[in-house]
Amino acid sequence: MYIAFEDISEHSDAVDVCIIGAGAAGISMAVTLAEQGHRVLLCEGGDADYSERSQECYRGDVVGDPYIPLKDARLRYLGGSTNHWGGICRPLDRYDFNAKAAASETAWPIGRDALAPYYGAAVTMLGLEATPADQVIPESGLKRIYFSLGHPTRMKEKYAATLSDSATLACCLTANLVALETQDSQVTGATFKNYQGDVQKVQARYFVLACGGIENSRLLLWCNQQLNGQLIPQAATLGRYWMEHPHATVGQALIFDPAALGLDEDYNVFLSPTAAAINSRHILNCGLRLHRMNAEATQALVDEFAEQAPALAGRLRAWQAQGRVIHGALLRAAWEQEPRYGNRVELSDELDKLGVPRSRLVWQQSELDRRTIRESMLLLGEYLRDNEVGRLQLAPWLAASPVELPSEGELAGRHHMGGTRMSLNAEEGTVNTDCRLFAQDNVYVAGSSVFASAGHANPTLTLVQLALRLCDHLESRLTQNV
Amino acid sequence: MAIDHSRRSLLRVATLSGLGALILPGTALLPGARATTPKLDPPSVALMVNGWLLNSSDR
Repeated sequence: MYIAFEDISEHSDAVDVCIIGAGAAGISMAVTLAEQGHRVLLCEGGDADYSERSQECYRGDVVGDPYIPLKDARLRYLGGSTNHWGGICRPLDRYDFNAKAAASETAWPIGRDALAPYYGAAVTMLGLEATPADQVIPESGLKRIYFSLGHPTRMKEKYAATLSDSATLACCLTANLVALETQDSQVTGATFKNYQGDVQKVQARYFVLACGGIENSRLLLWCNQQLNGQLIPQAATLGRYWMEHPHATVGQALIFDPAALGLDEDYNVFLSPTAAAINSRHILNCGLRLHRMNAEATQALVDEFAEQAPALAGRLRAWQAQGRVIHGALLRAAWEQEPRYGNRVELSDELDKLGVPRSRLVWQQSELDRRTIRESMLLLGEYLRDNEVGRLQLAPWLAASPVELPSEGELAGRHHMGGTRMSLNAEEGTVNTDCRLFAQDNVYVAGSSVFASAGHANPTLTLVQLALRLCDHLESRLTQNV
Repeated sequence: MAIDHSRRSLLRVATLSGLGALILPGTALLPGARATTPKLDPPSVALMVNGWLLNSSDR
């Protein structure tokens, strides 16, 4: 059921869990906990649909490498960024949870097995397609991987009936968190403000912050600042280790043996380096996407290729004359970014209309980030060449030495991760392995902000797995009344 | 008659010439013999040209 902003203080007297933010993580948790019979209050800062008054709160500064304007990199209304996502999903690789040879900071304090029990439920919740198992390509250092590429689920539409009809789930729109109160390691209240400046206080047994990969850091930084550090006394990592998935068009290829990669049957083929290749080449994870070109574009690429490699191009043309199919492929990539202390969300000096300091994103790609995409492409290019499967051309910026990353175009996937890093202790992160703030017994963080490292896969499936795992944890605490 | 030094030198030269006469036809055949074995291409070298990862033989 929906409740009016002016009624949430009164309603909150009997709330088990107050979830702040109604995006992929928040709605997943609200629906799940409400179905279990728990009394849930879901507070969304935005409206039911896009509104400028809400979206404007996402405006912020970017310092460092070129990045998408923060106002355009996410959506601030019911359903969050599931209102514009592409629905592309895949779980993280098992080795994404481990320390990689090139950067030990990639280690999570939990393994993939901790999330595996929630895979099926997360797939159902997001309406994903079943995908085949990965297939290692022999002696290549590569594996063929698969994503769910189906129609993207809009959470506010899929769960519209539950949001409006559930007796145990109350949803309040335009409820913007502006402050928390804490006493004896418990958050005792949360203050919300609407766009008219009205203020309501909410009490609950447990609070879950689920506002996204930038806002979770921003709101905790702001609340902690107001409380003089009592919310998160050890805040050295708060907002830090922020990560994206850099995206770019990275090259093109001519494939003479398309069956070797599966490009004879599929228009899109995804590849990534194996764990052994990642460690031997001292890189992080990377997803490469081959888009098959049409015949006209392929022929243009053969003509271009002939200028650099006339002998082989002559053979290609002879093969084509004999009826052999040669495919052109455009190569795009998304790769893992090194978790670095210096990449961070911080508070700017400018306040939004709700009185909360705006975000300032400090973000730079490292030498390892550049190495990851270049070496991943060399891995594929060497495999194609040495096995006479094809030939690959690096994009000019990638062939340059040093690599000059693009300053326009896609830049990144709008995948905001880190900032409230999961760790084993408060010195190295913001939440523990249960996603709870180290210093507060009843405050949790849901969403990709808890990621310790990012892999290359789109984060939504993993963050929903984490959210459902957190539901189990809260269910256990609520049931045991602890 | 004892062979003096200069005669011995002349004989050596003559003998070597004779050997040479035997050797030369053999050496003269070598190119022909070599022509019957497959000609070895220089090993192909990996290289990058305008961003393309190629073998030198591709060019």
